[in-house]
Amino acid sequence: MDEMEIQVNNKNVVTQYLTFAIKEEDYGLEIAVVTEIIRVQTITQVPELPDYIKGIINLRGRIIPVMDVRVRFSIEPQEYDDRTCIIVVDVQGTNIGMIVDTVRGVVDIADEDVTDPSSHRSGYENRYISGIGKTPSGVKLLLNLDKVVSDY
Amino acid sequence: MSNDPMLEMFIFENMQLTERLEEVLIEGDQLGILNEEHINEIFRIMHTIKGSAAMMEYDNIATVGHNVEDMFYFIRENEGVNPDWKVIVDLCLESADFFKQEVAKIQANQQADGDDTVLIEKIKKYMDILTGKTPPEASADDGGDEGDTSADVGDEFSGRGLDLLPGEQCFLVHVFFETGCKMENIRAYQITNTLLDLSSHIETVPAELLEDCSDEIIANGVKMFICTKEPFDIINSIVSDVLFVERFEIKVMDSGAAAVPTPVEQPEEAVVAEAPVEIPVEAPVEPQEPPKTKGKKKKAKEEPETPAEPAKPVAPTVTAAPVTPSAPAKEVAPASAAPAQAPAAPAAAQAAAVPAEVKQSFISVNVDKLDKLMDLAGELVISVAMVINNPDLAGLNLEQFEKAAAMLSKNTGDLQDIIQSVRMIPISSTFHKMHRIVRDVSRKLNKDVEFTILGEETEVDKNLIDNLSDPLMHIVRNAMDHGIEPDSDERERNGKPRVGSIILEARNSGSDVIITCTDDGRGINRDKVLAKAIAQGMLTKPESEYTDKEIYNFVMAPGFSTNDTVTELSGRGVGMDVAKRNIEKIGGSIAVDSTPGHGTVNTIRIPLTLAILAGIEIKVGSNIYIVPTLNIRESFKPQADQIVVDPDGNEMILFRGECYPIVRLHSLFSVHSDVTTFQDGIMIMIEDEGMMTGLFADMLIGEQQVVLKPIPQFITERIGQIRGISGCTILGNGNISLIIDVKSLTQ
Repeated sequence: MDEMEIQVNNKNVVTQYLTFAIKEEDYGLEIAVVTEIIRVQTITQVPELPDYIKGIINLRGRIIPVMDVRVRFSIEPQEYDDRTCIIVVDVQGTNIGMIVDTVRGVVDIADEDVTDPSSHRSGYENRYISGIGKTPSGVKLLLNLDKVVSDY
Repeated sequence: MSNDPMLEMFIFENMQLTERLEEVLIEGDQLGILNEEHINEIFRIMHTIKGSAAMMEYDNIATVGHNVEDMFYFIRENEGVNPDWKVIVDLCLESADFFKQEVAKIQANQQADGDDTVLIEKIKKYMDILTGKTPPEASADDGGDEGDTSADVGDEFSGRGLDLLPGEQCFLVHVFFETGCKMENIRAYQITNTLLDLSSHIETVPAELLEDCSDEIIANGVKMFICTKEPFDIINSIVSDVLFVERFEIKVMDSGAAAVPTPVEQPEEAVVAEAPVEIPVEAPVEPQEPPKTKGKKKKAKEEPETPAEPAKPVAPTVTAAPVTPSAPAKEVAPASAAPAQAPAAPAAAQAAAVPAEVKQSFISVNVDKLDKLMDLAGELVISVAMVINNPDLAGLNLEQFEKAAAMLSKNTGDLQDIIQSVRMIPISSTFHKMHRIVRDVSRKLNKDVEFTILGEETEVDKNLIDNLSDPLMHIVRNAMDHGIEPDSDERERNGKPRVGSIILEARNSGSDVIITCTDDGRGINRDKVLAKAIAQGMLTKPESEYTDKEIYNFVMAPGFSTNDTVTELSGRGVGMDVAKRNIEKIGGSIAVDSTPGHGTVNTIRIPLTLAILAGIEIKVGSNIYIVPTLNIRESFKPQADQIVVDPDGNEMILFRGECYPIVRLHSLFSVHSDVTTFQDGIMIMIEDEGMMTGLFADMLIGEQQVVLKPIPQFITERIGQIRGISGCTILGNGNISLIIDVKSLTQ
C-alpha cells in the first residue's frame, strides 16, 4: 500500500493515452480528446478537399469529416481492412474521424517518462509530435492533435 | 443574448403573451366590443406580463402592464361603463408594441430603456375619462392645458380652475402617521377612500398611494386636496377617526375657481389637531365595498363640469384609485391585516390563479432537442433496416421473425412521422398577425376592408413560419395600399361591394404549402408595369414575347415601384423584392397574377419543412448525388447531334433550339466513372432564375425526400464553399449523399 502511494508520488501525474499503429510506428493520443472508436464505414468523397481528408461519414446522424493519418504523415496509403479503425476525436467541439491502421489499447504514461521529441527525431514529422512516451511495451509517439487537425 | 434561462423564459413568455394579446384585441376590434372573455383574458395577460417584468426588474414594462391592467380591472368591475373600445384597443395595441420593442431590446442584450411615460400618460388620461374624472371632450384638447402646469405654485395641487359645485369648498388635509405603524400608504389610501365618497374631487401627494410610497409619507406626510360639500367638522372627524394618525392639519382653501393657482398658505382657519392616540378602534375606515365604489363612480360621472385634469405626474387619478387595488394591494396583502386587503385579495387571487389554465396543454421544447430526436428516429429506421436485411439471416426461413420485423418497421416508421410532425405548427399565428396589419393600414388609409383567413390550421415547419411573416406583411400591405380602391364609390361603379376584400389562404399541395393572398381591388396595371420595366431597362427579350404573368412579376424585381408617390406604407420599390428574396431563402417561390379591375392574387409556394428537400438521386461513378427536383426541367439521353463543341473545347447541348453549357459531374467532382461518352449517360437540364445548364451524369436512380444538412464546418472553413455542392444528406441506407447546388452551376 505504502509502496503504491510512493510510486504515484514519484511519478507525478499519469496521463492515459490511446495508442494506435500506423505502419511500424505506435502513436499515442490523450484519451480525453477521444470520443469513440468505430470501424471504417462508407466514406463519401467531397470534391476539392486536400488529399488527407478522405470525405465525410455518418456518425449516428451527425456528419463528420475523416482524415487519413497515413496520408497526413505522408506515409504511402494502404487499402482499408477490418483492422482499420476510425478514432473520433473532439477538437474544441469539432468532431473529426482519424483513420489509423489499428488501435492497440490504452496505456498510462507518467509525465516524467515523456521526453521532448526534438532529441530523437528531426524533420517535418516533428510538428505533429508533442513528445515521446516510454512504456514497457515500447516507445509511443504522442500526437499534437491541434497541429494534426488544424495545420493546413 | 444572455444564457440566463430565466431571462430566456421571460422573453419567450412575453412574446407569446403579447402575440396572444394582439389576437384578442383584434378579435375584439372586429366585433366592435371587447366582451367579458376578452376583458378577462387581456387582464390576465397584462397581469402576467406585469408580474414577470417586475420580477425581472424591467420596470417600464411592468408599469405599462400595470396601468393597462388597472384600466381593465376597472372595466371588469364596473359593468355600467361604456368605454370607447376603439380607444382602448388602440391603447392596448400601443402597449403591445411597447412590450415588443422592449423585449426586442432585451433580446439584443440591450437595456430595456424605452420611455413609458407618454404611453402611461395616455392610459391614465383615458382612465380619468372612464372614471368620469375627466369629461371625454376635455381629453381631446388637453394638449393645451399641459403647458401651464408649470404655473402650479406653492403646492403640488392644481386646485385652480375648479368649478366648485354650489356649496362646495376645498380643504387641504395634511396627515402624519405614527412612526412605525407600517403601511402608511395603505392607511392614507383608506382615508382618501373614505373621503372620496363625500367629495367631488380629490388629489393626493404622493399621487399613487398604492404604489410603494410609504417612505415618502413617513417623511412628509400625506397631503390630500378635496372638494366637498361636507362641512369642516365632518372632514375633521373622519380624519381623526383613522387609526395611527399621529397628527393632522386641515386647511380650508380658497375655492380656486379663479384660474390663478391658490396659494396654500391662505387658510381662513388653520386647525392643528393633535389626534389622541386613544382613538376608538371601532370601524376606523370602511373597506371599499364594490357597491359603494360603483355608486361613487356614478356620482363622479354625473358631474362632468369637473374640469379637465391637467396631465401632470403628481396630479392624476386619485379618483381612479379604487380601481387599482388588485395588483399593488396584492403585493402588500399577505403581510397586511388592513381592511383594504379584504376586497382586493380575492380579486388578486383570482387573477393569479387564472393564467395557469391558459394553454395548459402546450409545452415549449428547444428546437435543438427536436432536431436530435428527429436524427435519432431516422437512425432507428436505418438500424431496423440493417437488422431485418442482415446478411446473416439470408436463406433462413424465419416466419415469426418476419412478422415481428414487419411490426417493428411499421412502428419505427410511425415514430419517425410523429417526430417530424412535432416540428410543424399551424400557420394561424402568422396569419393572425396580418389582422393587425390590415387594421392599422385600413385606419391609416381610411379604407374599409374585410379580411378573411382560410386554412389557418395548415401546418408548416417552425423555422419557415418565422421567415414567413415579413413577406406576408408586405404582400398584405401592398394589397391594402395598391390593390383596394381608396374610393368606395369607384368600387360600387365597377359592380363590386363597397367594402374591399382580402383573403389570405393556406393549403397543402403535396410536399408544398401554398399560401395565396387575394384582393378584389383594381388589379395590376399591365401597361404601366410594362412601361416602367422598359424605362428601367428590365426587359431581357422582345416586348411582344412577354406574357401577362411575366409582366406582373416585374413588380417583384428589385427597385421596382409603379407608385409614383412614396407613401409611409409603400411605394419605395423595396418590399416586394425583399419579400421575394425572403421566400426564396426558405426554398419557396412567389408569383403574382392579376385581372385588371378584379384584383390580384399573390401565390407563395413553400416546402412543408425547411429541412426536407425533394430531389432526384443521380449516380456518378460510385457516388450518389441529389439534384433538387424543383430545378430540373428535363432529363434525356443525349444524341450525338445534340452535342456541340466550340473551338475552345467547351461542350454544349442543343436543347429546344438553344445551346446550353454542359457540366460533366465526374470531371467537376474528380470522380472516376466509366461513363464518359454522352450517349451512355444521361443529360439533366437544370435551371435557376432562367439560366439553364446540362448536367451530365451516369444515370438517374429515383426520387427521394431528403433531409438537408450542412457540410461540416471543418471542411468549409478550410476550402470555403465547394462549387456545385450546397449541402449533404443521409440516405436511407445510412450513406451520405451530396446535394448539387444548382445556382452555382448555372451561372
